[in-house]
Amino acid sequence: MRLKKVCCCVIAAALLATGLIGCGSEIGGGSKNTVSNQDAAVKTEEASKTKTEVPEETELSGTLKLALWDYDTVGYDKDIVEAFEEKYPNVHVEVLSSANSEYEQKLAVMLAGGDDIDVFIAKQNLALTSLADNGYVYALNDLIERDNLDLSDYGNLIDLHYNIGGEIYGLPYRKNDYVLFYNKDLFDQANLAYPTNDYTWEQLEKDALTLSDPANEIYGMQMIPKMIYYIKCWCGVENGFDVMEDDLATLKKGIEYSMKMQDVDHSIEDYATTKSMNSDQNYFMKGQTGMLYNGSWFIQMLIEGQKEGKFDFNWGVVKAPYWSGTEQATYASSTPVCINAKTKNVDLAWEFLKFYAGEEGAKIMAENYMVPGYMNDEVLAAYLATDGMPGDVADAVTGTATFDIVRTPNLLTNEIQSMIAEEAELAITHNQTVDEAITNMQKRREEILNK
Amino acid sequence: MFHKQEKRSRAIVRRNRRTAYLFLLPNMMGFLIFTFFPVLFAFILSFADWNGVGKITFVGLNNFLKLFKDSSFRVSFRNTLIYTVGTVPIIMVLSIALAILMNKGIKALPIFRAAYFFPYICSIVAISVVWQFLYHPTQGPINQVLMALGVDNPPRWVSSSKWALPSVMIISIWKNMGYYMVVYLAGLQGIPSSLYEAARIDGAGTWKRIRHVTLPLLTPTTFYASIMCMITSFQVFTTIYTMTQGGPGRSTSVLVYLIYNEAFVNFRFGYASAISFILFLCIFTVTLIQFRGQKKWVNYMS
Repeated sequence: MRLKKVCCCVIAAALLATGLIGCGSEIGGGSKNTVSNQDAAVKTEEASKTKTEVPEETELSGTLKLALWDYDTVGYDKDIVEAFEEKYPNVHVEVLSSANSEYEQKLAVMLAGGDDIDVFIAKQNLALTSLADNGYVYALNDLIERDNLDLSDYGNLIDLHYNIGGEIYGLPYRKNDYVLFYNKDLFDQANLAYPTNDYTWEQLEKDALTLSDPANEIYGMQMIPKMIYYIKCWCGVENGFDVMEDDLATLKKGIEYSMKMQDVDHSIEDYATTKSMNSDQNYFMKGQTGMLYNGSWFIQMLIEGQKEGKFDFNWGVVKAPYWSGTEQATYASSTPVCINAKTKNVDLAWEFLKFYAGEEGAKIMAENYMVPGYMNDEVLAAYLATDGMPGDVADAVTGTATFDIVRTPNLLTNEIQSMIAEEAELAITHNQTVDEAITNMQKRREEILNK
Repeated sequence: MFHKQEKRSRAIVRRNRRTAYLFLLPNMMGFLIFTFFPVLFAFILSFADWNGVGKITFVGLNNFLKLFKDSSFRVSFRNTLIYTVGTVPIIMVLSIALAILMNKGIKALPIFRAAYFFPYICSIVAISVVWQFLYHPTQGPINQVLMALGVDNPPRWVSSSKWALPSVMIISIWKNMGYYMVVYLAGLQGIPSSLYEAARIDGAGTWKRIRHVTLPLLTPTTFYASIMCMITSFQVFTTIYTMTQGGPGRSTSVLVYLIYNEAFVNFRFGYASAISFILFLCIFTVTLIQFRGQKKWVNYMS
């Protein structure tokens, strides 16, 4: 009787313990080990920097886990993955897709938790520095050397965004030049000449005023209500401006420019209102704004949107405006494809990376109206030949000098950009003066740099 | 003979004790794994530098020294204090008032009770969306009513760095008073009606009765409610995260939001742990003061 009771208690405790341990590994590990049999010719080593044999094309096999966002909605990622699976029929790509708004957080958690991801797409090149610093990203230098990969077709992107302390941490599969979209119909109505590829912010200010009709809720200019877009516009005030090192008072010109358009000209909707109404890039399709400063990914959205009948006005795109007195340049970001430092399938992941961000992937991106990171004559021809591509697009997205808000990638850039965004937002919403904003920015930058 | 009996009773006690511990084991395991060890780990982390994935390097009191030089910490600390001092007393007063009103047996009492309790159980995201609309500077109903009443420049609520924190506080008060109203309703049931009758016979009016019978006898409930309210208001996060994300600027940044930001956005887990340790000390001190003070003002009916 007594023995029975003791047995029951012990079994209960043991079951509980196993249950908790089982639970624990579920939470920690997340995904079970799905690495299926690797081909004998493909050697993978945990010590990632040793040289391995180059696998033959047909011998590539296995499962590759890819993390990205909006897989089912954007379309071009799916096209590239399917093309890769077609080329290597023994490879299966398992896609882990999340929603756009939560992707960065989810990726950070997955990487920190040691999830079994092989390749992931970072949300933006700014995120790459902290990912690399945390040891999540595989350094590609040895693989690039082994395969003699020619990086010149990536332009200055590699050095601008991917070369962190001498190590190259990814390849860009998407380039996001910032350009100016405009509503041709509204310009026609106001009898204004369309913006050219040589447009300055000062000219934009004048044209926006002419286009605006606040009584009918027509605004000459639209900015997406996120301060980071404004910062990209303001950093062009001085060629080569670096938010980490240079005098932040330089931004004053830009802030005052935006505030004049908002408060005096009323050529752009009040920031606080736009933000609370959440009027993001899709608002341009309503046809009530004359111009929009946005990234080149929007070209694809406009073409698809017009096909689907979301809007029917005529639109055009030109290079982004530049500040009069400076050399023409536009902000460009790129979207990195990276290999997880902890991957067990280095060679498979590397072949996938080369495909995704290389010529094959670039051609597929071009067919989907997206500007790829890799650009040579063939890719450019494919881009221009794509059905439904407006004639002015090629000029708008190619051949412009690009800049970033810092001259070299830096760990603290994200935090400093957020801080500048906070203080500038307070100024734009009249919660503090522009001078106060600049002073606070400088003070807080000191604090962050000394942390 | 006596020895044997003593031995047997000791054995029985031992066996009972062992059974007791085995019953407690599941709860203790849960507490240890999910509460005690994480808290211990966070405490150790507060003396270290860790980005969540690399090595943990010990830096001694460095994090705490950094804290006091950080303007974000000062701002968050101040906002948390303002938030607590602003919401706790108002919630207490409103919930007692509501409970006393509800207790009078008005018609359709269950409907009113549900209406006041509903915000507490409602999803914070749904509440944020609705209140964002209510708080809209020009098209929101609140400002439209104010402008109709002749107020020229109504506050810009969540767009204004001055009014953002009060806006969030209003939502919190509205959300939480239902819960404490229910707590006080329960407390009111424990007051014998004979005391009210005695007071009435002595000629005490409604207000005197409330002041001299209801409130003193509600002090145990008030003690519980005030401690819970204070602890939870120090830990406010979800409302801030969904409504204002600490903005505009840092005007609604509170301590827990700062901890979240430093840990999960800036990957400074050690620094965030140091801040959470300071928060823990604050809450602990306040609760300790409450417990010490209880002898002075809480009347327990024995």
